Amino acid sequence: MIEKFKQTDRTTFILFIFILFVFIMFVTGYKIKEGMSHYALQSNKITTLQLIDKELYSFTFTTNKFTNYDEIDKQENKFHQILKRVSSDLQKYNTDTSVLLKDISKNFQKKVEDLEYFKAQNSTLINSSHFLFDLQRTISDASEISLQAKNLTNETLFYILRYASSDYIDKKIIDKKLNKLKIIANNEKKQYLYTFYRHSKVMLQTLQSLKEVSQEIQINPLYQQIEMLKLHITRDYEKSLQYQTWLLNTFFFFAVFILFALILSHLESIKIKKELLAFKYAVEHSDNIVVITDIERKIIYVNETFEKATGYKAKEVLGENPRILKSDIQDENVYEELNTKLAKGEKWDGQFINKRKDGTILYEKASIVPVFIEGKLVNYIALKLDITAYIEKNKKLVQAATVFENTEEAIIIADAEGKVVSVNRAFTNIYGYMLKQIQGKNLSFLQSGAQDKYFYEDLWNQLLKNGIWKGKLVNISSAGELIPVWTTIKQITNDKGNVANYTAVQTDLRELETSQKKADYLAYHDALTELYNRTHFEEYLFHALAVARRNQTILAVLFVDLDRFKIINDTLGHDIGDEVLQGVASRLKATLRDSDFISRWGGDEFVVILENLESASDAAIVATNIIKNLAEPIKINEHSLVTTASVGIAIYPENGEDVNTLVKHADSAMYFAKETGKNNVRYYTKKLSQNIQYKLNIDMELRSALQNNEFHMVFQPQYKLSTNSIFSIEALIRWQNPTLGNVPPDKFIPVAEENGVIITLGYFVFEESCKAFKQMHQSNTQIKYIAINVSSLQFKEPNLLENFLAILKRHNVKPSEIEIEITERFVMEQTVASMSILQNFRDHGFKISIDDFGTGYSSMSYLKQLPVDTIKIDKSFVDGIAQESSDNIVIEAIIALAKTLGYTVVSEGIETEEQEDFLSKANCDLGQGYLFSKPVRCEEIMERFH
Amino acid sequence: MASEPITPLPQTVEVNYAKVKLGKALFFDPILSHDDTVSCATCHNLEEGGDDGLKFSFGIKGREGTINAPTVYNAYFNFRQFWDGRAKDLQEQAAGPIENPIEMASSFKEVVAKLRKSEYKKLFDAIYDDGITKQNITDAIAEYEKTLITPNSRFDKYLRGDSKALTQEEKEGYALFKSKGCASCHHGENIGGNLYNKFGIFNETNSEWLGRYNITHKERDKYFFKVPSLRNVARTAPYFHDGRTYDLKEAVEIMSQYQLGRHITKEEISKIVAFLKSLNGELPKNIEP
Repeated sequence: MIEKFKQTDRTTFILFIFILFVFIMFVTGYKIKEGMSHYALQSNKITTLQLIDKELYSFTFTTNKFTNYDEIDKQENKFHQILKRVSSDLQKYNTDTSVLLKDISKNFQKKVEDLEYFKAQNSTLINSSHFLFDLQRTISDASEISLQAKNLTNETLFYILRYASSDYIDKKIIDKKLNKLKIIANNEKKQYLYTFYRHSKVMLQTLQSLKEVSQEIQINPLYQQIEMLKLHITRDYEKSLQYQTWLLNTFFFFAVFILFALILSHLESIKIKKELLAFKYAVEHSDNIVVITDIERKIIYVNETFEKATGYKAKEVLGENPRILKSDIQDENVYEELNTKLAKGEKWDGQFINKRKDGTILYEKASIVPVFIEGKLVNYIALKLDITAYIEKNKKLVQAATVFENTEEAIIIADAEGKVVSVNRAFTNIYGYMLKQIQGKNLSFLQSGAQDKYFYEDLWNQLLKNGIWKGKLVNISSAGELIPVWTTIKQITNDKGNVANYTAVQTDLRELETSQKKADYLAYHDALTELYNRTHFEEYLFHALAVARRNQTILAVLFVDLDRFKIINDTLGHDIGDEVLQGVASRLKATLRDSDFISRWGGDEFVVILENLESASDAAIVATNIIKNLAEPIKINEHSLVTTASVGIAIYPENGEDVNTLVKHADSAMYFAKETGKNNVRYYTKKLSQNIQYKLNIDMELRSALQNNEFHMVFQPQYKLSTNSIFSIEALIRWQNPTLGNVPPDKFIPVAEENGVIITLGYFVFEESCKAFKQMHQSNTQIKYIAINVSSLQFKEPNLLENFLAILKRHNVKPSEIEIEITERFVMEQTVASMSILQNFRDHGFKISIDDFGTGYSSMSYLKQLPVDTIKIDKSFVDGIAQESSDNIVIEAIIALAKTLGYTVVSEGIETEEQEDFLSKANCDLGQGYLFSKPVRCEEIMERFH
Repeated sequence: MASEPITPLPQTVEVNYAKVKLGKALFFDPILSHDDTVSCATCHNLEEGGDDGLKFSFGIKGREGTINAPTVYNAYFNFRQFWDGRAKDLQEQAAGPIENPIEMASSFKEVVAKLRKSEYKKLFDAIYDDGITKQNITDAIAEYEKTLITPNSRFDKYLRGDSKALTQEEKEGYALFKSKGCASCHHGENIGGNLYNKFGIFNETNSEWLGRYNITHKERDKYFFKVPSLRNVARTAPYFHDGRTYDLKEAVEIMSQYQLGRHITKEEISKIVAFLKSLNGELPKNIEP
């Protein structure tokens, strides 16, 4: 390329010189032509001048001959005009002719004057000569004139005429004769003779003048001077022509020389062009990607390989920066290094990680060269090789090597004769052999003898036939251990189809075989208690039911659930809980016969299958034994824990004939046992099923109850025990359903919580309560706030607080006039997050109260961390108020603690004055119950307490 | 008729009409004189044979000239201008009277300044790149004077072949004109005006003017004058450079005595004069001021 540029420059220069020379030749040629025409013109004019001069000259030989002087004047005029023009022309071209021209002009002027004189004299002469002839004739005819006189006149005229035409006649002779004539004329007194004398005298004088002036004219050097002028300009012209011709020849010679040089240059450039074409072909079809950019690094050329490698068409990238190929994973430092090198004018070699048009990665080994032509940077050329395939292959090899080395599988590579070529680390780990110990050895050293020679014969037959063998082998390690391995042997053939290698991949089955056994066990057992698990239970019961059906025997399913086990887990931790469960399991085993099937159902639930029962009541005996045995305290570390259980029983075929029904019914019975006081046993009954049906009905009706306006609110006053005056109210919901009648909240609220209706219902309660409270407030009741029950599920609503605040704003109720009642269960179940939710409510001014306090498992230690304003003592405690009752002490303790923590205490369900009296004495703040008022409608509250 | 010493005048002369128009205006305009009283036409009355009919003309302030004003008609065909031929053409001639103190008595400096202030400025600028100059003023006047020719005289018609154009007497006069030797000087298209000759070859003429001698200062040129044209000679009395006679017959006689040195009878003179009268040509049309 560089060569080519130089070539072009040189050719252009030579061509320029050539054109210049041709131009000069043209100019010179033009000058020659101009000089020629100038010369021709002037020469013509000068020739004309000579012709005129010749004519005027010959005019001087026409004495005594009439000439129309217009012609002469015309010639003179013409001469004058031409001379004027010649003078002005020659002043321009032949400057050194001016003296000559001046002379010519002067001599011409003189000639003209002489000619004028000649003209005048000639006219006179003509007249005189004519008159003299006439007169001579008259004299000859005149008789009175003497012969002597006649002869004299004849002679005189003859001499005068001779004198006119010849120079050899002496004027004196004529004068003598004329003097004689004059005397005769005087003597004879003849006028004719006298006139003749005078005219002859004049004529003679005229002739003499003419001769003189002719002489003058003829010796005028005008003609010679004109000739000189002509010679002069001819010489000038020839000189100039010679010079121009020399110039023309010189430049012609140079032009030919240059033309020759140009031809040579052209031939050379054709050669270079051919080379370039070959070079271009090579570039275009090179395996290398070739990119050429200008100094701005804009792409000006890419070859086909570039297009193939990158997926970009040439026209898409022309004018772009090559960085359009840059991938995200390209290291920026590479560009820095590249730019540093290129800035120094050096070649850069390196690697690019570029991306193709479709986004796939393109690895390139690249060299970028800055191209300098005559010291000036003109291009960058990038030669790049697409090494993506190589890199990918390398990567795969590295991966393969890594896999080879790091895989858990032992890999053996053997040659065609079965001798070891290579083994991996896993092989060494498994068998204890290092590669160098076994390299080149026949693989038979691994044989443990567990397989006989027929086995190996068969193996080889299969391998040679199919190219592959798979199967289990038991080999022997260097330490003598038997190693079971799952082996895949492959025959590797080379290009010619000959066996090159064998590879064996062996999976160590030792662990697998061990864990298989373990897995089999785990599949059917509970890991913690080692009792059967649920899966095994279901399979077992399925079989047991089939047996019972066949033998027509009775079978019982016992659902055992530990009471309050969650508290142990929550309070003492899971480790203790797990130990408790293990203890329970071992007690169950001890209680039951070996033939009885015991399984852990999950959590703190256990299911027992009793087969071949005599009667259904036998099951109750077993169940009672279970309860009794479990009731014994379990000692774990320093703890002595009492774990009671509730047991539900379902009987085959009485309560169900399939696995699911029996389990479901046993579960229902267990819940029934829990509901009826825990730590007891219940059989499944039809009634239990009916309860479940009732719950389903509630579920159905609940879903449309809100739309049907089946809910309404009632309000129960909370009054100050010290003054017996109303202080606040609790909002309570009531449901009047057309088919189910009045459904109490403790029946439908859990269902609502299960089916999600609780959310909308919650907002309904809150909105209605606020509305009612505002009305109450407006009717001047002295109610300070309203307590509204909020389900724990409602707190899962993301915008509960915002929505509540919006409702309050709508009804113009302050948050401080609202007490949110939450259940103790909520407090127990919820976490730090829910505590912060409560705190959030409090921060906005809401009061928080804990409902049913004492019924759950809340320890007193919880209480002090809670963001709570009010504690409500559950009705069950108030019910138990009697002389010397343990509940009295509990209530007193709760109140005392609450007071210490600054909580307000409300007692629910006060029905007797005795209860009221006790609570008042116990310093309980507020009371609520039928004694003071049942829950009533808003209107009634307003009416009664305004 | 072959080879007659006299040739007819051309019918027309090629001219530049714009220049002619300007030259005519100048010709009739006294602005060229010092006191705006004398124009070219003052002495060259185109209605009266192209001269003023006076022995000597009067310049500004009544200054009388010393030489007879020749006619301007056919002056173009004269080989030189002025009696002594000191102007080689009409343009050179036109400059003469303007600066002559007893004629127009002006100067070109004055004339050019006056013309520049007049309407002539536009006229000159339209024709000449360099506007009003001496050269251009005289060029325009000369161009106009080229149109002042009188072709188609009866004699010219005769020369062109119309033998009835002349009367017998006139024809005889022409024959005498040639045979007596008049034509040796008065010939060519302008019947004279193409040579100088001495006034008084045979006799002393008592001329106060020395003629060409004043120009050449050569002894031989004493009393040499331009031979005048005989075109319209009947209209251009008085005759000779000093206007010594108003009578054409007398003029012919003077010529025969002084120039030819021969006696011509009265009858012959009458015939010659008859011939000379046939030389009156048609006056040009553009001679009204």
